[in-house]
Amino acid sequence: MIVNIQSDKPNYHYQFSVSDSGIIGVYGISGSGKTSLLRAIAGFGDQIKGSIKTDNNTLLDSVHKITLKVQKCSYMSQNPILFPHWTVQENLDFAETHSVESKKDTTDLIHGLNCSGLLNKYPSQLSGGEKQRIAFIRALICSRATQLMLLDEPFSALDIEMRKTALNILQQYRNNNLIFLVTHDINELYHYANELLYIDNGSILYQDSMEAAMASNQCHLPIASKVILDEKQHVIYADDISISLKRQSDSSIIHQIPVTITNIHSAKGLSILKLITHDKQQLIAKITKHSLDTLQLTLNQEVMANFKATSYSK
Amino acid sequence: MLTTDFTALLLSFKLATITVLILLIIGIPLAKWLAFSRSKSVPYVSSLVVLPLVLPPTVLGFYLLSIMRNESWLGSLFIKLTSQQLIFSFSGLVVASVVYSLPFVVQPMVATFNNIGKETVNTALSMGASKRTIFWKIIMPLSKKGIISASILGFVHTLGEFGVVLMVGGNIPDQTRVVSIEIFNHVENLELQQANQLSLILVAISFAVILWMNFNNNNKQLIS
Repeated sequence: MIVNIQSDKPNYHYQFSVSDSGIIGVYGISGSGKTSLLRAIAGFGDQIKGSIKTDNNTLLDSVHKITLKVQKCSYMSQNPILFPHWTVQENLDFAETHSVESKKDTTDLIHGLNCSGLLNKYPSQLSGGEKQRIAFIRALICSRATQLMLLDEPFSALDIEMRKTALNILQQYRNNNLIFLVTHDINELYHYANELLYIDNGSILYQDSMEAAMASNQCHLPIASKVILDEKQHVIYADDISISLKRQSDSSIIHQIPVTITNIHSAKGLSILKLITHDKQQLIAKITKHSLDTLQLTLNQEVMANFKATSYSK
Repeated sequence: MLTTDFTALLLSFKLATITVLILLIIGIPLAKWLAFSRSKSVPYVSSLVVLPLVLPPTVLGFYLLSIMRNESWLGSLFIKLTSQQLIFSFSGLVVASVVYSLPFVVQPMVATFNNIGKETVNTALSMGASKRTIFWKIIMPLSKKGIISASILGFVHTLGEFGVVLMVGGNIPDQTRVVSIEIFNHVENLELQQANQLSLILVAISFAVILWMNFNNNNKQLIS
């Protein structure tokens, strides 16, 4: 998909191209224009100029007077719209009717997202999280026919476990769909997205693979790991972790955890290391390429991950 | 109650019923367009629709009279088609009532459609539903109450209209003498008891309708 669009109200200009499948993480601070981008691609916005082209289709081409219409896509906002006069089952049936029918897949999704007990309820009887789960199932049903998913903070009301379940399900759709995923959780994007669109003030500030984005010094991404230490959960930012080959007894840093390197990605003088602890917890460390070379770090190598007590928050 | 009073009441009910039926046919698509269209002409058309709400009935009546007189294109066309004049006829009253009651029916419908929201329609469109499907399966069921309320409001308003009716229809028994004009005649002739009887009937009908709407409609703001 090649996008070059602009609008005066809201004010933005987006120019980028992405492949026709995979998860594109859309990241940026509140009000940076993430929702505007998704709405523009969906054809929901007014007065958009420019062009949006896919391999098979021209969705918008102002020069040739092709105006933007509402696209057939799986659009889901963080306050998803379910049709209020229908039950959950009827809402899903409506989606099924306008997509490729696959009752078994739908039933699996309903079970997978723990929604079996919601089918006879009306949207007004659902909580925010339940609405998001139903809207997500509906988006997945629609994706069978659309191959374009636009998900705007789709899991903001879900608990951690359900978010993981939903993201794991979403991951299974990445090969056949182009998925734009807006989230404020950069860690989720790091684990699930193929590419990052970093949006700032109505334009694309940065676009690259997630690993390259992490290692880039163009955009400071606060990627962190959630680990349990001394029976308490902590958030440790990748910038705050250093690596040593051995436990350092003469260091002021007392938090030194033995880890194994499972992934290394280097770009522009920085390296991102994925680490795994003995009790299978994942850590992400950001070090300089110079340090990587000096320590001669390699995959599957056992090292120590060090961080100050002041560098983590509860 | 006098026979003439009864005839005037029946004529008013007939006028209100026909007006509302025509307004439903015109009003629903017009209100849908006003609520959901992206066209730049929406504010202009909306202002035109609301205009009868703020214009003095005599001004509206005067222009309707000008448009419907026998020498006008509409008046002469009507004569050619029906061999009857449009002005000072029941048909003329229907045309005038449709114009005068248009905002009372269309505005509540626009408010109802706005409550459904463009996002709901966009969501259904993005799922691949046709505009026809969206209209019949989503918009109409969700706006049923609003449309019924708008119809009743239009009916009651037509029932009580005086100024425009007098200007366009005159005061012809069995043809254009509706209940509001009959009340005026009674007052002019100092037949206050008959005027009171007819007025009470209109008050009772209007109160019952508003009460019904208050109990049955969640859409509190009927005219926006």
